[in-house]
Amino acid sequence: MNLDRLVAFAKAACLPVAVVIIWALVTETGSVPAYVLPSPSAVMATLLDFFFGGSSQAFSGKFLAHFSQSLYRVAGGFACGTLLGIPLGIVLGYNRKIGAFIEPTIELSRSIPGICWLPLALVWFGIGTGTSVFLIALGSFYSIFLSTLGGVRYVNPVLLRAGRSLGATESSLLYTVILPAAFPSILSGLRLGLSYSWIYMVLGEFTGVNYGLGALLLQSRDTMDTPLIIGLMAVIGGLGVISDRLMLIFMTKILGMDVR
Amino acid sequence: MTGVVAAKAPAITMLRSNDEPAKISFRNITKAFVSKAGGPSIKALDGLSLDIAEKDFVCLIGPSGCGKSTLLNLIGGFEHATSGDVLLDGVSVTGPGPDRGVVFQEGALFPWLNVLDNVCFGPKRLGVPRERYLEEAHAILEEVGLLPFAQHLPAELSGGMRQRVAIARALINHPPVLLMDEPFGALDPQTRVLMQEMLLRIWEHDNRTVLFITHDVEEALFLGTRVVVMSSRPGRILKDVRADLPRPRDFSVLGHPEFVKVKAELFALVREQTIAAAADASGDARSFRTK
Repeated sequence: MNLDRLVAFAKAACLPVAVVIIWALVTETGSVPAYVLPSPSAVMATLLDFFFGGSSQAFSGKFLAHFSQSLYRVAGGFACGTLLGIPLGIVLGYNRKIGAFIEPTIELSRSIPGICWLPLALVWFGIGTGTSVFLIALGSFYSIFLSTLGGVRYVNPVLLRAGRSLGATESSLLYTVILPAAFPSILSGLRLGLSYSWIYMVLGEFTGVNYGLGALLLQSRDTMDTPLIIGLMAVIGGLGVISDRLMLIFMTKILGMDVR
Repeated sequence: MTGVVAAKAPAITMLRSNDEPAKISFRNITKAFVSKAGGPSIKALDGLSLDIAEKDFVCLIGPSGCGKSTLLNLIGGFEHATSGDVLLDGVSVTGPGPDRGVVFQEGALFPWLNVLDNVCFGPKRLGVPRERYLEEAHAILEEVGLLPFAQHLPAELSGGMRQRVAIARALINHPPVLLMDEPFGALDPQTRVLMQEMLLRIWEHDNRTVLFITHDVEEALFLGTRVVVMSSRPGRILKDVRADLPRPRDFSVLGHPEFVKVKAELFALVREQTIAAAADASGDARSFRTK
């Protein structure tokens, strides 16, 4: 089992390793100018500086300051999207009659790309955390809402029959059968919503706030600091992976819910 | 309403020999399914009547699509007849309830609950005290031989084990009626015989009323006190035989000359109906394919 995982990991690592080797070759030999594509070692050095300090650069040692701002916005926006998406998904998934009034409107509003909300959000919330949280909430809401609705609505009908014939009342059916059966679907909606949250975090911070990983990304473009640009892309991607893992662990181990 | 029932009464007494009130009664049932694609509606059952006495173990056989499962869904309260009466103890069935335990084709265990929690689902909903249902769950899991697997999830069990959990889960509510919809259909022949013997052992112990759907003639004769053969769609009752072989039964009864003879007869009858159903389907199939 462990060997299988090791082999799978080795297979998965082949392509990234190859990319880094080619990347190192073309940059270290100087065939590509450093301001277009810095070498892996330059990116690594910038990242270390960003995390632990050591230079006179403005970003030096400032990882935590930027990260905490971004995390705050992601957490706030994702929480709003979740607190809106899950209850609404449950109600509309469970009751088609109410759904008939609300679902078409949500479907219609979903066809507006999230990025189109940016100018309006700026008018409403100004530059800063409000706009970011709004965009993140909006971006995560749809996937959380739709997955919850689908999971609740399309519970295997035989399970409902089994529950009813075993003595569950219509109201207890919701928490004894429907929600547990919908859990895997709700969880996948949350994971998708969380990944959207990081995307919209960057968008929200591109509006010109001072602190945040997205803000720093935009600033590093202004200073043509390509090592930092690439480093930040890796950091934001890595945080997405880590937050996804943490949520999976929280949902399955701590809430004790089974995803199978 | 009583007028309708009285008018149908002669047809029912023809099917039953004694005067005990029937535990389960289907009276002149018609069930039509409307095609969603706009095709003609399909009549699954047409004017079917059947009485099942208390403590009867009725096995219902017939070609696939003849409406056997529909009949079970009607008494289970999952579906409603287009016309006719479905009665349990003389009272119209309006919906599912714990007085009718159901074992579904594929078990329908709750995949997020372990074996013990699946079995305890019913008594928990019915407000049985915890100590009592835990004790009963242990006894019933012991009876079906799954006590060592109490903490396992359904996904970790074999098909036969899952069906044993499903039976335990239905039995723990002590339902006077047990409805089983091809519960052993997906099992290998060896496991199937063991399951049948286990079911008989349990039934011979408590003699509850059972309606058992199967497409397997041998299974029907082996288990039932009565075997009812349905025609191809729309389902009517073609034959109603008592299976009076000695009890307690085990697999040795399969070689009994009487068993072999009746089995051959019933097999021929079901075969005839299956051929009729296939011929019928070649005409009917088009309305389904448009979907």
